[in-house]
Amino acid sequence: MVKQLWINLPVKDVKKSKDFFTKLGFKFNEKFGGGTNSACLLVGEKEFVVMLFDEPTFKSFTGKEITNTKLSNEVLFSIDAQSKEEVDEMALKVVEAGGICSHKPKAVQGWMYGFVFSDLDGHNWNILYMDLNKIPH
Amino acid sequence: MTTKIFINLPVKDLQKSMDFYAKVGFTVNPQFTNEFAACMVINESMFVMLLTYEHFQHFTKKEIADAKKTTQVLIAIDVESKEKVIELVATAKAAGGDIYMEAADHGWMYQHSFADLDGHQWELGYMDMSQFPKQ
Repeated sequence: MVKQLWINLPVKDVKKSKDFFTKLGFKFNEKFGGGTNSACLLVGEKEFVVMLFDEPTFKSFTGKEITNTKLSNEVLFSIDAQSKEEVDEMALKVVEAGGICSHKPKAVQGWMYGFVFSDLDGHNWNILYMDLNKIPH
Repeated sequence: MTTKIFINLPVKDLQKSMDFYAKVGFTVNPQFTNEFAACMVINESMFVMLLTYEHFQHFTKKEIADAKKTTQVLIAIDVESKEKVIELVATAKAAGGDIYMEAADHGWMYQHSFADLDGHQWELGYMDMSQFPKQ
């Protein structure tokens, strides 16, 4: 049914957000966005598309006020890492780039290892290593 | 490197939301589904997770936003035809979703949208690149 899915997020400053995600090791598709009001973030090796829009542009799509992410959240993105070491490396990069980690990477439910961070706009991301061999049956 | 993405959305009533999304046509992955969360499969690497408020709250110290009042994210999907967009929006409406904007027909692109039972917004589109205006 679904051919493609992409995520649209509001950001206060497109350029600062591009710098932030670049420091985390993500790429941008310069064919889309590229102006001052949007950017096309590509996450991971499958290149999941996250369109970053400045707030006036984003608001024109939704017809509602933008959530004040300092107070509340509507969404959490979880992306996987291939090892615990990769999770730890990412946690260091996030802090260096100006993101906020709510806690150090930790074991979760015995089969996952990860942490949650907030980006420059308060969007929450969960970096997670999952050992599917240890998932409880 | 990242190979999977899960978009986690908080929902007030997991069963009702699962019923809603089943009607709209999403498939559930039982391996990642329990009484606190339901995993809907977009493809082999993309998933939308519906989490109970209680479960979602484990990941954030902040309040859960009322998505009927404000928006933090817009999930966009591209489907195979204009008719499919029309059908999905009609199905979502019949299942209790909210249609908050008019459809937009740009000739080469047809767009419409719905909000789910909790106000999470989805944008649906069909693009026919053969009709894309030539420069």
